[in-house]
Amino acid sequence: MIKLVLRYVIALVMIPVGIVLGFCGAVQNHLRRHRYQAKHAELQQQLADQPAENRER
Amino acid sequence: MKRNADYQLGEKASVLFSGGSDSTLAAYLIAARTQHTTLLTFDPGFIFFVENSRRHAQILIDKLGPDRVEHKIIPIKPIIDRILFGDVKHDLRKYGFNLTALGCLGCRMSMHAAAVIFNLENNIPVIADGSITKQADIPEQMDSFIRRNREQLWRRYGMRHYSPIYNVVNSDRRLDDLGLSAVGKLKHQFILFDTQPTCPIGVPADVYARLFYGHLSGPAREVDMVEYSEEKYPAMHRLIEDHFEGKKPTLAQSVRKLQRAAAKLPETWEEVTDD
Repeated sequence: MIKLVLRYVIALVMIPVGIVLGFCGAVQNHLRRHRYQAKHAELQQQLADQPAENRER
Repeated sequence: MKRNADYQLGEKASVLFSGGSDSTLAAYLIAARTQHTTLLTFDPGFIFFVENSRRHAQILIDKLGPDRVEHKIIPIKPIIDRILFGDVKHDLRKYGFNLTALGCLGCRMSMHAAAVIFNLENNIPVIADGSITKQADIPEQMDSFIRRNREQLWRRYGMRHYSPIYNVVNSDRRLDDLGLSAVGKLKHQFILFDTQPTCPIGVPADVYARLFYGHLSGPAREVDMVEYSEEKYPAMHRLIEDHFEGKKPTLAQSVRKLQRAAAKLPETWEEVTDD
């Protein structure tokens, strides 16, 4: 019973914390989107330049 | 009794083991193919109920025998301090709110460094974990990280790495079917688990990763994962080198020994299950 209550108390506190942080993170990532897009394109290019045997596990 | 040569994955393996349904099923699949398997539960110092991991560990020991399966809970706070908390100010400045999810990656990489040391010291060429595709929103379970880590870490130190249940869904039902489950419907549990530790920052980290970091962040997660892990690998290598400083056998000798043993093993889990 205590565990059940504790579970929901933690959920009530920590899930909103995650949601608030998540919204802040979404705004941050939107503001940084050009850097992320450029870096992602660079990573994709690096991967494409690798020999085929290195791309697979 | 089986001889060493009869075990598909050879003499020794270790498994990153939380005691949850995924790592328990992964551990069973590895242990069934190995003469001796060590279940490694790492305690970073800030999680609760670490002892919960003993429940499924004991079931595996009862099922396969104490000569085949062993469970160790290993404190790794000094390693966490050097890798996860190595340069918090820099991490916060660079990754900002995304550190909510990336912190779990740092914690996992600290555990990986500890596992490398354990395996090298105990001459264990096989390492496995319970990563699953269903949790690929979480940085440390992204397929691209698992592949990258296989190259950058496990292979570098002479080990074969497997994620045997990566494509399995409902590992809790599989455990029930195998008679290995301490509690029914494990996947329905949340926050406080009966068979694994609880991380206080796990809940916001999980919400962040699943609801915001995956689909809403575009390429941010992939880029962050690459940059964050690239920054952590040098610290991991330094930590491992420091650990073996002045010891016999040397780090290089231990790695070579594992490489020789690993060379005889299947490269991928698909090859293991094809045999």
